[in-house]
Amino acid sequence: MENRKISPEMFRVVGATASDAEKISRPSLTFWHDAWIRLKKNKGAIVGLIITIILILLAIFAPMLSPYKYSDQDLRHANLPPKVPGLEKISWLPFTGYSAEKVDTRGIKTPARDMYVTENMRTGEKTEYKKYHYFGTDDLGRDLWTRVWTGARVSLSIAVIAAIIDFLIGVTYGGISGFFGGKIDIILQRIVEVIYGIPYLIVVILFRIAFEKAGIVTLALAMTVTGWIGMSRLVRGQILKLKNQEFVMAAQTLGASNMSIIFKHLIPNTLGPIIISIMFTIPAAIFAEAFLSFIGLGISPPLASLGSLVNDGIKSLTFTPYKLVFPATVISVMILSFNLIADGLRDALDPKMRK
Amino acid sequence: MKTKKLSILLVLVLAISSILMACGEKAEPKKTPEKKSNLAAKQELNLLDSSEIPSLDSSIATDQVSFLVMTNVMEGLYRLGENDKVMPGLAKSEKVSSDGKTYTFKLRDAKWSNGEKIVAADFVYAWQRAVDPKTASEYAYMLFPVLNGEACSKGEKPVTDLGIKAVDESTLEVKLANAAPYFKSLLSFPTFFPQQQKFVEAEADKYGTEFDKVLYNGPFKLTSWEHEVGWTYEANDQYWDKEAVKLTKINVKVVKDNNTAESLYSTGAVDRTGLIAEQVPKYKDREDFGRLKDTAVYFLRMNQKNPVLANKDARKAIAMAFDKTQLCDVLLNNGSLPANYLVPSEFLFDKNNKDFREANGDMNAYNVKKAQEHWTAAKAALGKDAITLKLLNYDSESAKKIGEFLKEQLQKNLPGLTIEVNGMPFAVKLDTESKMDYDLSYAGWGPDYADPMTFLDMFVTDGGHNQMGYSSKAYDDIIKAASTTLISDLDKRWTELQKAEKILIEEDQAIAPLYQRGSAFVLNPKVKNIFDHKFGGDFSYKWTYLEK
Amino acid sequence: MLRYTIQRVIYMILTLIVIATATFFLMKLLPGSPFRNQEKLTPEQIQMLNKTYNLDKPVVEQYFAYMGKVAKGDFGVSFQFKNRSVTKLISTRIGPSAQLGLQAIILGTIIGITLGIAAALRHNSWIDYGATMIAVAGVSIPSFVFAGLLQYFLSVKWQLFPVIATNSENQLTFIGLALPTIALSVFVTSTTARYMRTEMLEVMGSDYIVLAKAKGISYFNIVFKHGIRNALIPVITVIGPMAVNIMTGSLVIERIFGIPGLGDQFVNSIYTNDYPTIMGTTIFYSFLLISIILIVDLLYGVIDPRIRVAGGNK
Repeated sequence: MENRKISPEMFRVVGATASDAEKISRPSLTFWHDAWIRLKKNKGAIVGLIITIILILLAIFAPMLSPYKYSDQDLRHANLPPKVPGLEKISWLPFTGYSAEKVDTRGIKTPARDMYVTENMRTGEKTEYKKYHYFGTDDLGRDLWTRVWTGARVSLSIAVIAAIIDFLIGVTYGGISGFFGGKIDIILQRIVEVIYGIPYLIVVILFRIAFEKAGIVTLALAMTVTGWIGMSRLVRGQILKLKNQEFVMAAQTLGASNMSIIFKHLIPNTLGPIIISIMFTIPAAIFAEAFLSFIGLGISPPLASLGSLVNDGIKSLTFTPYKLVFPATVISVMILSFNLIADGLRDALDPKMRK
Repeated sequence: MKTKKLSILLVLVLAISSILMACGEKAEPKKTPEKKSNLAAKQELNLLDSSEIPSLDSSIATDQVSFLVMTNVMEGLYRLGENDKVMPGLAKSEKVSSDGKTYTFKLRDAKWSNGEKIVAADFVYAWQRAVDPKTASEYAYMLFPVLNGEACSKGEKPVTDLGIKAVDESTLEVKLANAAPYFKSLLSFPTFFPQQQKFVEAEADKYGTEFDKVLYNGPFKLTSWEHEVGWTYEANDQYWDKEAVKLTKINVKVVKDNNTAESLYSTGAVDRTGLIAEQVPKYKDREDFGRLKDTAVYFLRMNQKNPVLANKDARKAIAMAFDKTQLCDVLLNNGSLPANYLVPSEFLFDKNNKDFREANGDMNAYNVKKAQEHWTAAKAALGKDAITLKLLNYDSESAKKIGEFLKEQLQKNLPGLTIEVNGMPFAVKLDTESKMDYDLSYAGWGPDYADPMTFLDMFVTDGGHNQMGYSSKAYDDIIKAASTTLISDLDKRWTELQKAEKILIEEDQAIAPLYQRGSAFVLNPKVKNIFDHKFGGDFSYKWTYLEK
Repeated sequence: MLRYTIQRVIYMILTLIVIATATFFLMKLLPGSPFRNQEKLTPEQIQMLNKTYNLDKPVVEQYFAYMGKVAKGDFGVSFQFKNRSVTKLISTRIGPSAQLGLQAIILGTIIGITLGIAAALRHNSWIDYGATMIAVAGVSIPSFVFAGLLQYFLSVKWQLFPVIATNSENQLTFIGLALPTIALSVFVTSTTARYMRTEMLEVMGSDYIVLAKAKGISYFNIVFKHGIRNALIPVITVIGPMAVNIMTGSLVIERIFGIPGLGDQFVNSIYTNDYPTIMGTTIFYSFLLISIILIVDLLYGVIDPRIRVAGGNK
């Protein structure tokens, strides 16, 4: 290799000054901006987000645009199967308004027939019911399309309100309990144990009696009576784990106040599990409402929730499966998409994943 | 249609003749070979129930499951047969004094399942135990027709003052407070069953809690009782009429979920199950489907403490403004009948076999036009245009549906009316009702004995079950007379009670009747002669058998 | 550690007393009476019955009478099931609930933890996506729908399993419990898998694992000794209370598969104002729950030496 001499002439200043060293070459990203960029890369999360938005839009607008009200009864047209304009001609789709062909245990066939046509027993005269019910009708002749989306609206509202309350109470409570430890922790944890130990159902029934009607807010509150405890225990556990770590000591040494350590340093570091927990709270609240429907303490009729519709539907699973299929699909898709978003958010929000 | 009726008649005749034969003093050996060959080789029945048996102590049991089991494993002076015909039980014969107040029963020679003889003292002990305030029987009031029954239950008189006496080992004498023409029909009710003092006292607190902690004297006895899971009946070889019993074994499972019950039936694991409204359409055209007409009548209580409901026109408007036919045929779908009455149909008959219902017929039936006329009059009288009423409701699934239906119908047909439905758990609902803290209340009533009074005495002024501030002098007078002066003239009593019902509903519209309950079920077509009853235990299996 | 444990046990008893007290007074706020036939009883008759059962006394007096009896181990007699002691009611019904619950918890956590670990170690691979899909699908279907569909297809339509969990001798069978166990474990699987995956990812990305790798510790040792051990902590917080809930009865599954468990009894006792049964079940349930929380807290110290539980000696 040829020996070359390096001389100062070979170098020149390209323009950097001492002040340039402080310059940030890439655009500055906030924590949330950065998270959003990473969330966008997660296909599952985006699919979940889009589906959630569609579901929310349907929950808001479908009942408004429907020609029926969720409470309109018409017993003459009860238990009609789904019928959708355009799709009604496609015989293999379940939107024809025909009942399913059935073969009973003795092998006798009941042929499929158009349930939207009623035949007068005496005269044999046929009358056709000209309207469409996309998801069919229930046993009071109410339009299930309208009821499913009204139910989605109700379920979502209950769940979101419950999740917000859980989050606020649980994080504050768990954060304080875990960080301060000692006497405060002991007292707070004993209170938690007492609340957790009191039978939930007694409280819910008392709630019902006190409020007389089970509306959205009543039910959301009923969910949160014990709902926040899981969150607080989770936060406390995380804080216990984190609070002896070096960055906390560093912050303490630098004179940060306790509150700023909890909320600026510790909580952001536990955001992953917290967000997952919130995303569990939403389906859990939807299911808890369904459970209350199952034992007769759910939303007051004629309002419906997805849970109460599913509960109604499962009773006639073999005879009118559409009453179960539509609300069950909506509830499952809704929860599925919440979970996909949760996964994406977890990856996006975790500070340790920042590169 | 005609042939169907004929065949039903034929079945009836056959069934009755077979019962008559079975009930002869000494059952003769069966001499109908072709009938015998019709029986399936395995006489075993598989059934479901929706709850555990709470108790087999006939003095303190309070629920349908206990009553059903006790009706089949125990027996009183009489038992109910097909169509609630009073059939012989432990009483061989009876004598009624001319004033109708003293009954003398001769007991037949029968044994407890431990082989000991059933004596008159067993009845005395059981009845005294039932009214004893220490027993705290919730059915003590069933014994109120017996002399001093009420006083004993309050502890005002010692239980030995109760009007029942063992004249000798096989003679029982019962004295009533007032003549009660329906008294005999009471005696098949479990509270009137005998109990052996020695056994009950030996078991003390454990009596009636396990299958071997109770004595049987009925067609069957329990041979296993797995709490909350199920129990098994086997034919009782000590039963006095054991020749009539064809089933050897009945297995019962506790299943609480309606879908599970239906699944068990459709897989052939059980022979019978009740159906809820949602399941009816699937089965209703099949031969194994059946409907039972019950005697419970449901109605709306209208609390007259509310100024709106104190107005007679408003009450009439409400009663006529909903379509009961749709309610029964589409929503309930189980054989329930639209009711425009309080005393159920096909329940009580006079001596000419005429239904109690025939005289009054339908009162204030569904009629929107009339309802609206009454409503306009009511609103004018009250000087109000918008009225809100709270409807107190149970929180069961079917009650919720009915509440929704009533709300929609009433609001649609009566302009200016808003209904708020408020469903509550059973105990809470009853409590709210007894505090009269409601406007409208969806309520029901089933009979305790075969007499119109079981329904009508509910609504006397300040009666314990009135609970809605209804008061009518004319009505009170008839009800009072019915258990005093009218006893001597049963025909007049009958028409007077019909008049009372007319006052209650057609004139005053104290309540708004809804429907007479029915129930739908599916039954393995091979199973014959499960008899249903309108009070006491729901079914008798004594005469049940399986066909080949 | 021993002093800390004793201290916690004393707290536990105090907590139990407070819960029992709160429940007692809340329960007495419920309107209605415990009599099954109350629809047919006149107010006067109800009053007489109340007197017999000492229910007409002031609530505070009833409370002390009850607590006095409980201190002697007497939990009273049920109203709903005449003459049957609450202790016996609970003891006969906890068996089936516990068996089902335990099976579901074991099945669910084993599958869940395995799925979670596999997903985390093969982050963003098809294993990860597959495991996540299973976990997500598991929590997306309401349990009564899932159980109902399982029963309809596997038991009624294809007749592979019995419809209910008990056989003709009225005994629980293993094959009969298979479907309810699966139905109940789905939720456990999903929850554990998701928590495990999250924690495992976090732990595997932490500095001490990097250090361990740099030190040349074998992959096996890193995953099992350092990774899983640390990732299990939050998972245990979740599993503990969940185990109690599941073992004391899942009302829905019990009803659908005809299992004579505690969940159904508890709901019934509240609906029928069966005071002794409500109290007995509450005390029993709280006792289990608090014990589990205590065990979880103690386990914290065992699994994660970094945690010096408050009150413990430094």
